[in-house]
Amino acid sequence: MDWLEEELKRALAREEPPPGFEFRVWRRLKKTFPRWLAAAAALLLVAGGAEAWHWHQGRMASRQVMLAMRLAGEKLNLVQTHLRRQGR
Amino acid sequence: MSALARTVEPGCDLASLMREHRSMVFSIAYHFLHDRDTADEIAQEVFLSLHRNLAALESPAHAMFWLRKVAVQRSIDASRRRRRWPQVGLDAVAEPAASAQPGDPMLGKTLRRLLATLPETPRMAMVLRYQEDLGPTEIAEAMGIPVATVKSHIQRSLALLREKLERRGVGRP
Repeated sequence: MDWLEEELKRALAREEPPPGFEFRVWRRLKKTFPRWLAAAAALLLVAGGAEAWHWHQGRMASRQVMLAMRLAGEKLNLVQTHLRRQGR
Repeated sequence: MSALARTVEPGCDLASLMREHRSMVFSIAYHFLHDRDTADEIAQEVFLSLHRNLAALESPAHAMFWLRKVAVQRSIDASRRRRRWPQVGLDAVAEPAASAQPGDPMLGKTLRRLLATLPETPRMAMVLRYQEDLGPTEIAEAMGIPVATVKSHIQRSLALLREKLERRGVGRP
Protein backbone atom coordinates (compact mmCIF):
# COMPACT_ATOMS: atom_id res chain seq x y z
CA MET A 1 0.00 0.00 0.00
CA ASP A 2 1.59 3.31 -1.07
CA TRP A 3 1.41 6.76 0.56
CA LEU A 4 -1.80 7.76 -1.22
CA GLU A 5 -3.63 4.63 -0.11
CA GLU A 6 -2.37 5.15 3.45
CA GLU A 7 -3.65 8.73 3.35
CA LEU A 8 -7.01 7.56 1.98
CA LYS A 9 -7.35 5.04 4.81
CA ARG A 10 -6.64 7.80 7.31
CA ALA A 11 -9.01 10.27 5.61
CA LEU A 12 -11.81 7.69 5.42
CA ALA A 13 -11.49 6.28 8.93
CA ARG A 14 -14.85 5.35 10.47
CA GLU A 15 -16.59 8.06 12.48
CA GLU A 16 -19.30 7.85 15.10
CA PRO A 17 -22.71 9.35 14.26
CA PRO A 18 -23.78 12.47 16.19
CA PRO A 19 -24.59 11.85 19.89
CA GLY A 20 -28.02 10.38 20.65
CA PHE A 21 -28.12 8.25 17.51
CA GLU A 22 -29.61 5.17 19.19
CA PHE A 23 -32.19 7.27 21.02
CA ARG A 24 -33.30 8.76 17.69
CA VAL A 25 -33.68 5.30 16.15
CA TRP A 26 -35.74 3.99 19.12
CA ARG A 27 -37.92 7.10 19.05
CA ARG A 28 -38.65 6.58 15.35
CA LEU A 29 -39.35 2.90 15.96
CA LYS A 30 -42.02 3.78 18.53
CA LYS A 31 -43.63 6.19 16.11
CA THR A 32 -43.79 3.67 13.28
CA PHE A 33 -47.40 3.02 12.36
CA PRO A 34 -48.11 -0.76 12.33
CA ARG A 35 -48.27 -1.99 8.75
CA TRP A 36 -51.36 -4.14 9.22
CA LEU A 37 -53.21 -1.14 10.65
CA ALA A 38 -52.23 1.00 7.69
CA ALA A 39 -53.34 -1.76 5.28
CA ALA A 40 -56.68 -2.17 7.12
CA ALA A 41 -57.27 1.59 7.04
CA ALA A 42 -56.53 1.70 3.30
CA LEU A 43 -58.89 -1.25 2.68
CA LEU A 44 -61.68 0.42 4.65
CA LEU A 45 -61.17 3.63 2.75
CA VAL A 46 -61.38 1.85 -0.61
CA ALA A 47 -64.44 -0.22 0.42
CA GLY A 48 -66.17 2.84 1.87
CA GLY A 49 -65.36 4.86 -1.23
CA ALA A 50 -66.79 2.14 -3.51
CA GLU A 51 -69.94 1.91 -1.39
CA ALA A 52 -70.42 5.68 -1.46
CA TRP A 53 -69.91 5.67 -5.23
CA HIS A 54 -72.57 2.98 -5.70
CA TRP A 55 -75.00 4.84 -3.43
CA HIS A 56 -74.39 8.05 -5.38
CA GLN A 57 -74.90 6.26 -8.72
CA GLY A 58 -78.19 4.70 -7.46
CA ARG A 59 -79.46 8.06 -6.26
CA MET A 60 -78.62 9.69 -9.59
CA ALA A 61 -80.39 6.88 -11.51
CA SER A 62 -83.46 7.20 -9.26
CA ARG A 63 -83.61 10.96 -9.88
CA GLN A 64 -83.34 10.44 -13.62
CA VAL A 65 -86.20 7.87 -13.60
CA MET A 66 -88.39 10.26 -11.58
CA LEU A 67 -87.64 13.09 -13.99
CA ALA A 68 -88.40 10.87 -16.99
CA MET A 69 -91.72 9.81 -15.43
CA ARG A 70 -92.65 13.42 -14.66
CA LEU A 71 -91.86 14.48 -18.25
CA ALA A 72 -93.81 11.52 -19.65
CA GLY A 73 -96.78 12.38 -17.38
CA GLU A 74 -96.78 15.97 -18.57
CA LYS A 75 -96.73 14.83 -22.19
CA LEU A 76 -99.60 12.42 -21.56
CA ASN A 77 -101.60 15.24 -19.98
CA LEU A 78 -100.96 17.38 -23.02
CA VAL A 79 -102.07 14.57 -25.36
CA GLN A 80 -105.18 13.91 -23.25
CA THR A 81 -106.13 17.59 -23.27
CA HIS A 82 -105.60 17.77 -27.00
CA LEU A 83 -107.77 14.65 -27.61
CA ARG A 84 -110.57 16.07 -25.44
CA ARG A 85 -110.56 19.27 -27.49
CA GLN A 86 -110.69 17.27 -30.73
CA GLY A 87 -113.61 15.20 -29.42
CA ARG A 88 -115.81 18.21 -28.79
CA MET B 1 -37.68 -18.71 11.59
CA SER B 2 -34.02 -17.77 11.37
CA ALA B 3 -31.41 -18.45 13.99
CA LEU B 4 -31.13 -14.74 14.71
CA ALA B 5 -34.82 -14.33 15.50
CA ARG B 6 -35.25 -17.75 17.16
CA THR B 7 -32.57 -17.35 19.80
CA VAL B 8 -31.58 -13.83 20.60
CA GLU B 9 -27.97 -14.47 21.44
CA PRO B 10 -25.88 -11.75 23.04
CA GLY B 11 -24.86 -9.39 20.26
CA CYS B 12 -27.68 -10.38 17.90
CA ASP B 13 -30.45 -8.01 19.00
CA LEU B 14 -31.10 -4.63 17.43
CA ALA B 15 -29.44 -2.69 20.25
CA SER B 16 -26.23 -4.72 20.02
CA LEU B 17 -26.13 -4.61 16.23
CA MET B 18 -26.67 -0.86 16.35
CA ARG B 19 -23.90 -0.40 18.91
CA GLU B 20 -21.51 -2.52 16.90
CA HIS B 21 -22.22 -1.29 13.38
CA ARG B 22 -23.52 2.28 13.73
CA SER B 23 -20.11 3.79 12.89
CA MET B 24 -19.78 1.59 9.78
CA VAL B 25 -23.26 2.49 8.52
CA PHE B 26 -22.96 6.19 9.35
CA SER B 27 -19.45 6.49 7.88
CA ILE B 28 -20.38 4.82 4.58
CA ALA B 29 -23.12 7.40 4.13
CA TYR B 30 -21.01 10.29 5.46
CA HIS B 31 -17.91 9.63 3.38
CA PHE B 32 -20.03 9.03 0.29
CA LEU B 33 -22.37 12.00 0.71
CA HIS B 34 -20.08 14.43 2.58
CA ASP B 35 -23.06 15.58 4.68
CA ARG B 36 -23.40 14.66 8.37
CA ASP B 37 -27.14 15.36 8.70
CA THR B 38 -28.10 13.29 5.66
CA ALA B 39 -25.72 10.52 6.74
CA ASP B 40 -27.35 10.49 10.20
CA GLU B 41 -30.81 10.27 8.61
CA ILE B 42 -29.74 7.44 6.29
CA ALA B 43 -28.10 5.50 9.13
CA GLN B 44 -31.33 5.75 11.16
CA GLU B 45 -33.36 4.48 8.19
CA VAL B 46 -30.95 1.59 7.70
CA PHE B 47 -31.44 0.44 11.31
CA LEU B 48 -35.22 0.92 11.11
CA SER B 49 -35.14 -1.30 8.05
CA LEU B 50 -32.94 -3.80 9.92
CA HIS B 51 -35.59 -3.96 12.65
CA ARG B 52 -38.26 -4.84 10.06
CA ASN B 53 -36.03 -7.52 8.50
CA LEU B 54 -34.43 -8.97 11.61
CA ALA B 55 -36.30 -12.27 11.26
CA ALA B 56 -34.80 -12.89 7.82
CA LEU B 57 -31.20 -12.57 8.97
CA GLU B 58 -29.36 -15.80 9.65
CA SER B 59 -26.38 -14.69 11.74
CA PRO B 60 -24.51 -11.63 13.01
CA ALA B 61 -22.19 -11.89 9.99
CA HIS B 62 -25.21 -11.92 7.69
CA ALA B 63 -26.57 -8.89 9.55
CA MET B 64 -23.31 -7.01 8.98
CA PHE B 65 -23.30 -7.88 5.27
CA TRP B 66 -26.96 -6.82 5.04
CA LEU B 67 -26.31 -3.52 6.85
CA ARG B 68 -23.38 -2.70 4.59
CA LYS B 69 -25.36 -3.45 1.43
CA VAL B 70 -28.40 -1.45 2.53
CA ALA B 71 -26.21 1.48 3.63
CA VAL B 72 -24.59 1.48 0.17
CA GLN B 73 -27.96 1.38 -1.63
CA ARG B 74 -29.58 4.06 0.55
CA SER B 75 -26.56 6.36 0.17
CA ILE B 76 -26.56 6.03 -3.62
CA ASP B 77 -30.34 6.58 -3.70
CA ALA B 78 -29.98 9.72 -1.56
CA SER B 79 -27.25 11.04 -3.84
CA ARG B 80 -29.40 10.47 -6.92
CA ARG B 81 -32.44 12.09 -5.28
CA ARG B 82 -30.72 15.19 -4.12
CA ARG B 83 -27.96 15.77 -6.64
CA ARG B 84 -26.50 18.33 -4.28
CA TRP B 85 -22.92 17.14 -4.22
CA PRO B 86 -20.14 19.46 -5.20
CA GLN B 87 -20.57 19.95 -8.90
CA VAL B 88 -17.13 21.52 -9.12
CA GLY B 89 -14.39 19.85 -11.08
CA LEU B 90 -11.27 18.42 -9.50
CA ASP B 91 -9.38 21.58 -10.45
CA ALA B 92 -11.65 23.72 -8.31
CA VAL B 93 -10.78 21.90 -5.10
CA ALA B 94 -8.50 23.87 -2.80
CA GLU B 95 -4.88 22.90 -3.18
CA PRO B 96 -3.30 21.20 -0.20
CA ALA B 97 -0.05 22.49 1.24
CA ALA B 98 2.86 21.38 -0.91
CA SER B 99 4.70 20.03 2.10
CA ALA B 100 1.79 17.98 3.45
CA GLN B 101 2.93 15.32 5.88
CA PRO B 102 1.35 11.92 6.56
CA GLY B 103 -1.76 12.38 8.66
CA ASP B 104 -1.96 16.10 7.85
CA PRO B 105 -5.61 17.05 8.50
CA MET B 106 -5.54 19.42 5.53
CA LEU B 107 -4.47 16.64 3.20
CA GLY B 108 -7.21 14.39 4.59
CA LYS B 109 -9.78 17.12 4.04
CA THR B 110 -8.56 17.69 0.49
CA LEU B 111 -8.71 13.97 -0.25
CA ARG B 112 -12.30 13.79 1.02
CA ARG B 113 -13.27 16.76 -1.14
CA LEU B 114 -11.56 15.25 -4.18
CA LEU B 115 -13.40 11.99 -3.56
CA ALA B 116 -16.71 13.86 -3.34
CA THR B 117 -16.22 15.02 -6.93
CA LEU B 118 -15.96 11.46 -8.29
CA PRO B 119 -19.02 9.89 -9.95
CA GLU B 120 -21.22 7.73 -7.68
CA THR B 121 -19.97 4.24 -8.53
CA PRO B 122 -16.21 4.87 -8.25
CA ARG B 123 -16.78 7.05 -5.19
CA MET B 124 -18.62 4.28 -3.36
CA ALA B 125 -16.02 1.71 -4.44
CA MET B 126 -13.28 3.94 -2.97
CA VAL B 127 -15.21 4.43 0.29
CA LEU B 128 -15.68 0.67 0.71
CA ARG B 129 -12.06 -0.03 -0.25
CA TYR B 130 -10.42 2.46 2.11
CA GLN B 131 -12.98 2.92 4.89
CA GLU B 132 -14.00 -0.71 5.23
CA ASP B 133 -10.76 -2.23 3.89
CA LEU B 134 -12.77 -4.52 1.58
CA GLY B 135 -11.37 -6.39 -1.38
CA PRO B 136 -12.79 -6.05 -4.91
CA THR B 137 -14.96 -9.17 -4.54
CA GLU B 138 -16.62 -7.94 -1.34
CA ILE B 139 -17.11 -4.48 -2.85
CA ALA B 140 -18.68 -6.02 -5.94
CA GLU B 141 -21.09 -8.02 -3.75
CA ALA B 142 -22.05 -4.97 -1.68
CA MET B 143 -22.62 -2.82 -4.76
CA GLY B 144 -24.04 -5.46 -7.08
CA ILE B 145 -21.56 -4.78 -9.89
CA PRO B 146 -18.88 -6.96 -11.56
CA VAL B 147 -15.51 -7.40 -9.83
CA ALA B 148 -13.69 -6.17 -12.94
CA THR B 149 -15.66 -2.93 -12.83
CA VAL B 150 -14.70 -2.41 -9.18
CA LYS B 151 -11.02 -2.95 -9.95
CA SER B 152 -11.16 -0.59 -12.89
CA HIS B 153 -12.93 2.14 -10.88
CA ILE B 154 -10.43 1.92 -8.04
CA GLN B 155 -7.40 2.00 -10.34
CA ARG B 156 -8.71 4.94 -12.33
CA SER B 157 -9.77 6.88 -9.25
CA LEU B 158 -6.37 6.34 -7.61
CA ALA B 159 -4.58 7.44 -10.77
CA LEU B 160 -6.74 10.54 -10.98
CA LEU B 161 -6.19 11.49 -7.33
CA ARG B 162 -2.46 10.79 -7.56
CA GLU B 163 -2.10 12.92 -10.66
CA LYS B 164 -3.97 15.84 -9.09
CA LEU B 165 -1.99 15.68 -5.87
CA GLU B 166 1.44 15.07 -7.39
CA ARG B 167 0.95 17.90 -9.84
CA ARG B 168 0.64 20.12 -6.78
CA GLY B 169 3.74 18.73 -5.17
CA VAL B 170 1.98 16.55 -2.63
CA GLY B 171 3.18 13.20 -3.92
CA ARG B 172 5.87 11.36 -2.02
CA PRO B 173 8.38 9.02 -3.62
